[in-house]
Amino acid sequence: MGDVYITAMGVASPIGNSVEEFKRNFLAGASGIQEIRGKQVPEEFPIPYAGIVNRDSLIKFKNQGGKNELDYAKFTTHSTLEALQNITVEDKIDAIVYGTAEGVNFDHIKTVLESKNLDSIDWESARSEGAINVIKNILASLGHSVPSDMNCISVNSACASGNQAIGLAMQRIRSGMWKRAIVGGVDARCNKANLMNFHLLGALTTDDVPPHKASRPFSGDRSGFVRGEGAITLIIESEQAMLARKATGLAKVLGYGLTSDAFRLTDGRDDASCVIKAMQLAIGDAGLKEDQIDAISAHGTSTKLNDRLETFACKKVFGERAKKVPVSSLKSQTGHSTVAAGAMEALASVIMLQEQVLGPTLNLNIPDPECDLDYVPNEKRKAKINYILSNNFGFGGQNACLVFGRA
Amino acid sequence: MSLVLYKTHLIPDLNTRPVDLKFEVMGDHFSIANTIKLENSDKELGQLPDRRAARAMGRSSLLLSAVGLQTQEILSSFIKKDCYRVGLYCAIDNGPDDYQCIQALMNTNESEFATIYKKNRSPKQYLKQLPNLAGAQLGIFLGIQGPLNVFIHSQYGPLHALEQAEFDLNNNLIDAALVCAAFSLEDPLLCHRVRKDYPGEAVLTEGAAALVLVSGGEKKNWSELTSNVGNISTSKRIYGIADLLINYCIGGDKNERTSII
Amino acid sequence: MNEQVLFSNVEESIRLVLNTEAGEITPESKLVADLGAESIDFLDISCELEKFVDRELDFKEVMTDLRVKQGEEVKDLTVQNIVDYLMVQ
Repeated sequence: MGDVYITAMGVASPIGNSVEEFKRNFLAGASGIQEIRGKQVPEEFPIPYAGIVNRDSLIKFKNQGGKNELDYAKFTTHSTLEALQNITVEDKIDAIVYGTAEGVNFDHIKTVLESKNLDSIDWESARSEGAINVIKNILASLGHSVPSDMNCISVNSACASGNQAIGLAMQRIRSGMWKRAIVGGVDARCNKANLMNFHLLGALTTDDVPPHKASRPFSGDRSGFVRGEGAITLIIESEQAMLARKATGLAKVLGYGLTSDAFRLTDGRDDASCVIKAMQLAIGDAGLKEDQIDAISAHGTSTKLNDRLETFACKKVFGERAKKVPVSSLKSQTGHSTVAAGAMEALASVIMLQEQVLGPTLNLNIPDPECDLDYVPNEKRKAKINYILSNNFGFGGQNACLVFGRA
Repeated sequence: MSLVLYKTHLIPDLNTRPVDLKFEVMGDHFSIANTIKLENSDKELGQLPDRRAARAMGRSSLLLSAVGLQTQEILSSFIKKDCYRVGLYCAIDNGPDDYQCIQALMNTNESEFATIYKKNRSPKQYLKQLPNLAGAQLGIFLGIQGPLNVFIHSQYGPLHALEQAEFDLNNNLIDAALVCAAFSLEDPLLCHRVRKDYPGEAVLTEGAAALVLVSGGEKKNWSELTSNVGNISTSKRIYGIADLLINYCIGGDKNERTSII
Repeated sequence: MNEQVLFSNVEESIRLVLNTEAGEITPESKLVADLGAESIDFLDISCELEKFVDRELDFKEVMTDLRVKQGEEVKDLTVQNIVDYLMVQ
């Protein structure tokens, strides 16, 4: 059947609203984490910072509208339009698989309770598949055929959703079921309620440090993740479909592994056994051996637990070689965009493969004896990279790993 | 190719008459016409293998576990053989937000938001809301460590779940698949949205269903069920996001079970 | 607040969160080993208890205090440990 390729990308993120801008800032080690008090949240808010998308430079699409131009729609529209730039209407899209968040949410409820008017909200935005419908509308408006509902799939595995969306579609294309799919994820919930939800779970850092210093994956002084937002849209297709339209492959999606901890809702297993299995399954699915992996795009959230367990798992998977496999965490620059994170990290992986440069992990301030791998501290680094393992581990114990390869 | 090894569903008695559903928090003017709830209380449904679990589960999640746990015996040999080769495929909406907490925030200063939010809200409330945690919790009860896919398309979720289970079986990624879905009338605005999707004589009804698929049998084209989306011709009932799976499981066949817990 | 009332509040908070049986919780009950509490449960217990004691309770601080008194190897705490901590604060 041939390999599955990523052939187009689009992004709205805290470090850039185009692939070029994202690449520039990613490799420069720029941080998209900003002070949010007095802006997105009140001055007295317990969470000082988050990774925020610059809304001023988002593309406005002519058919966008509805009662409220909500951020999830704006981010999805922007990233999808960028991804579709070089796709003609003859290049049929067979499916859309997107990581999306909840439907009816805090803002919907508050608006209705305050206004006592059920028509005061956009009910289409109260569907979990709202982002998928945005993409379908864009396709229709541009004259593309729209995939059937059977193939418009909203997935949710919390922080593993992005990798799950990409992996699911990759498998279907590799099997011959589909030729070409739009994949990705959107998270536009850096708002008061959602920040408080994570805060009440003790998941976020609130340390009194400059915003760009707050996300500290693998550092000894890490104390929780920084919330982020964004939308990333990728086009993935079979080698045959890509060649038929003379498109250029940006990177390959080679392997996918998905396991569940079946342990606890918010804590991973101490022995990381299911995480290890997911990583091994992805590597095996790619037809590779562990010693062929050149770099890891970590889940690397900056929580005590995840970073320790992920490091432990890497050591188990890669054995003595573990300390020679560089590990980067994009979340040090962008924060954690939960359902969109995997797709954002896929974009970063493509850039690393194309440029043959490892992205940095910022803010590695203090060594942690339990996190002692090569995390590419603070600056990018040239490297020979053929294969990258990308990890996503979600609340509830869902572990989704992908392997990307050079095109 | 897949074979239905077992299926079960949980729905209100077919003779139950529909009623208009009111929610105190929404006030007198709000009501969802033509609904049927299951008789099982949340407390009854909360009698689960982990006595603490119900506190982080909305009603839909409780219903999902209620049907899912009925597959425990039939899945046990597969899980014992290789727990990574059993998959779980769910269709479910996100769980409810805390309407009382949101009400407490109305007409307050922005500066007080965090204080009032924290005071009025359990930290586990957000765990109730996340749709994937309903599936994850069931997986914890059953010990399923293979792929967990939660599909949240408001109408096609069950079809996506069935097709993914079929795909994983056909591609030898798993040996057995638990496919399940649940819908509850717990959340007022969700109920209103579903009511809008199915106006007229459709009766919005709570329910849940689960089936176990294994390899073998004939190739199934689950997309043929697409025409059943929103179809109320037989019972006039719509079970929200779970509708397609519940109706499939109700379809008369061996191993059909109607459960009253 | 006297110790008996405080114990009653602590017991009720823990019982609500962990769904224990009436009378199951004693002053000697260990939250993890005996009652099965996980990390998320401590946050939940804290939230419930704050309704009674009307101030924030951080279990990390309770554990730090306990380790100072009983040694660094302490990994679990009893209901009485919580009562003692709150009596002093």
